Amino acid sequence: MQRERYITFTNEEGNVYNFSSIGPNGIIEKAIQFIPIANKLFNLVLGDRDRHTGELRDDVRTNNGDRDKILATVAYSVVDFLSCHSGCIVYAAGNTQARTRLYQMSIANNLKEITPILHIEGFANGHWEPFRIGISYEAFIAKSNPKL
Amino acid sequence: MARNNSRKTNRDGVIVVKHLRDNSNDPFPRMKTEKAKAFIEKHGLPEGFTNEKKKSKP
Repeated sequence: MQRERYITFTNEEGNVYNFSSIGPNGIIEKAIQFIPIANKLFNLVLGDRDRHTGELRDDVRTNNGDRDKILATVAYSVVDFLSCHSGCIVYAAGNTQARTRLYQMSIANNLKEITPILHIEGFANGHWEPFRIGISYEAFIAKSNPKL
Repeated sequence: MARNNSRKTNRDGVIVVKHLRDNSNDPFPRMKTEKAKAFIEKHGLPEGFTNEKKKSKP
């Protein structure tokens, strides 16, 4: 994927991707966590790491002027996670409509690069369908492209 | 963080670090994962996304 993104730090299990957002509001520690929901099914959680407690939080708006770079970093972390965890599936939905829209933009902005690698579906109007730009989805699900 | 106990991988822009904090059990990720579980239970997974093993032909 060619878009500018942050370097990420992951653990040996490959279920956490940490990176630092750098912008006018300073350096903000962010984390992407893949949490098991069921066998081989993982939930994607993106948040800011609290400076004092180290906990992952979602209730802060950082506005650090690097949204596209963060979205490309999230998209790449999903590609990397699925390439390292064979046969796994990633589910993602925002905590709010605005956050879900961010995930949607993350996919749409990187769709050209993602589609040869991942198969992505979105949930809208009560059913799952292959991801299309311009549809407002409630949730997303991704797995490695079976054609690979 | 990355200077000690870290190794570069051939994965572009990904560095593996030992002893990275796992936030799975923090309140926010736990709450989000419960919501995700409920969503999947209610709506299921799309066709082709289930983890059921294919039955081999006799």
